[in-house]
Amino acid sequence: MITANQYLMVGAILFAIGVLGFLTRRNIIVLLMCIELMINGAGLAFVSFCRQMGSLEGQVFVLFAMVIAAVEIAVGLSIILLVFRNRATLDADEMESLKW
Amino acid sequence: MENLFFYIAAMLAIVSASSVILQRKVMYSVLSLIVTLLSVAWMYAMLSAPFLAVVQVILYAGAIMVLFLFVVMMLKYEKTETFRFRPGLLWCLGLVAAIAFLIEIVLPLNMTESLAPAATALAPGFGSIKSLGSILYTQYLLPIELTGILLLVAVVGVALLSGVKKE
Amino acid sequence: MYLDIIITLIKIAIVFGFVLNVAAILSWAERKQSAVMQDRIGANRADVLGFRIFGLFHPIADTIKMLTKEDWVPPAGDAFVHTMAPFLALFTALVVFAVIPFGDTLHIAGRDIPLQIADLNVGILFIVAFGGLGFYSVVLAGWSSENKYSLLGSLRAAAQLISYELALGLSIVGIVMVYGSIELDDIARAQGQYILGFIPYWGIIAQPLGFLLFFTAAVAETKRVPFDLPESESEIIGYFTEYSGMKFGAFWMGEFIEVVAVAGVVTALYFGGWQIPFVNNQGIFFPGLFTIPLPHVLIVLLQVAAFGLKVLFFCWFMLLVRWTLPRFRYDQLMAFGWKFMVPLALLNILVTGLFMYVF
Repeated sequence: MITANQYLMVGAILFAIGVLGFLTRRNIIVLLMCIELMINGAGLAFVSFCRQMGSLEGQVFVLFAMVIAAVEIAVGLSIILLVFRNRATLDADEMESLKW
Repeated sequence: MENLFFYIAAMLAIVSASSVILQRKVMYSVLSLIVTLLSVAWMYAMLSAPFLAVVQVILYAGAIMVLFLFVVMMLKYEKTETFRFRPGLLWCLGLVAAIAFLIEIVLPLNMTESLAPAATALAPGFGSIKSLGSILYTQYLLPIELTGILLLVAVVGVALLSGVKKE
Repeated sequence: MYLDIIITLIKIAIVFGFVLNVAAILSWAERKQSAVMQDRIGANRADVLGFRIFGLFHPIADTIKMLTKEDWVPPAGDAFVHTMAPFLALFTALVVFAVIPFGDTLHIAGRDIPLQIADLNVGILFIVAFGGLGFYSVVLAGWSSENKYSLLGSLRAAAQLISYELALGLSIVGIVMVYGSIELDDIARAQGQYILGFIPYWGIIAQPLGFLLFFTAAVAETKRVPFDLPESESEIIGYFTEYSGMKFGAFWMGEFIEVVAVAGVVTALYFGGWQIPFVNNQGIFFPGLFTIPLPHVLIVLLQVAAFGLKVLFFCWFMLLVRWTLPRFRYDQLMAFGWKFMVPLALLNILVTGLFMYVF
């Protein structure tokens, strides 16, 4: 029997993998992808609680989170493109100066 | 049967998520992330949220990952492919932090008694488009309008950032 | 339990058997159609023991040719992704058929068998979602070939697919508003009503503008003339330049399966699905005049046949379009998509809403 706990566990693991990748990888595109992983882990937790409580609020939150993620990725990737055009690097550790 | 489906989906999600952060080529990371998103959509469908599952496929796999794919196709940068992880002790610290974080959230899960699925009976049509739409356009009308404005702002911002300036 | 699985497998076998055979025959039909329209004879050379039967052996000969050709992967490219791309094209084209209803519920031996592989309650959105994934095969094929022209071709294709997917999604909204459901079998059932007692209430009558927009956008999604900029085999180089053998054949096959898929979706949404005018669950009838009762199984069989015929008609219609129209220029393509189709689709939603509010 699958309980909400298992789904929460999968969500937690996805979130932790996202955190791990975010803290260890260099490539800034991969960092953005790790944010997506974290959002998905949280979304899974939302939806499994939502199933548990029999209310739809959690699903609405996940829907909004997806829209926010789309906006964030669109803006983030265009910033990455700009940085790459000016600095020719994708290494997050090399992007250290605030003004150039 | 349901158990089997759940375990397959969970394994797929976790394995492909690990592959996102372990792959050398960024393109392979993107492809693994698509698999993760699809298996999360699968789990949404099993959690009686069919509309969310489809939106996950349309919006994440069909729109957001497309942007990633475009950028990865256009940019070629070998250095972060040979040196995937951050230099020196930084990646060790990251690993420790992530593991501590995982323990932190998994421990309370183990201590609570396991929650039976659907303690309350689900209303018919739970998670369908009709039920979700009626709650979105009554209770959450203002947030939805605000998200529309946010999307517009993002479109303008992206056009401004990536537009080529005419001399 | 086991019987359900067997019934589902039989339904899958029927649908895929139909789709794959029609797709293979379409490759022959396309040559013959072009020959008829250009006053030629067309493919008729393949013969088996002296029998030629209008060149119908050509699809088989093509398949054998492609299977025996060398399968070449660009050495600088990415072998894994290069191999995966054509199969993604086939998969996304085939998975759409899972939700298309091809007949009314069949009552046989005390069982109700819905003639649809999977009755999902997200219906149309499933088609939009998985049809949209066809994008990946295009982009990955271009990227993994490690060829500038393939990459440019795949970027062209991606821009086109994304632009027209917007108009496609928006034009479906009108149909959903009119029939008040997003499930394809509900929509097909609702099209069995009659306006004024004798005009069948099909999608084309309820949504004429929506039909034109949907059909145009769907043809653009199949990447065929007049929207064939991504491949345009005669002069511009497209995304599958670096493909050979059966992998190229898979792209080719995927295109014809997409044609059948578009024909199926158009039929289900706008041309009454499996409905035959003036035939209902009891038999042939004319409103207010007479009814001729027919056995249930016969009616269902007739409806399935009607669905198949409508699909074949639309496949043929798309071949006709293919050999009639010239190709768009790239800026015309984008302007048409964004400045014409999308505003018109929004207008269609507005007008539909007004009509529904008034009546």
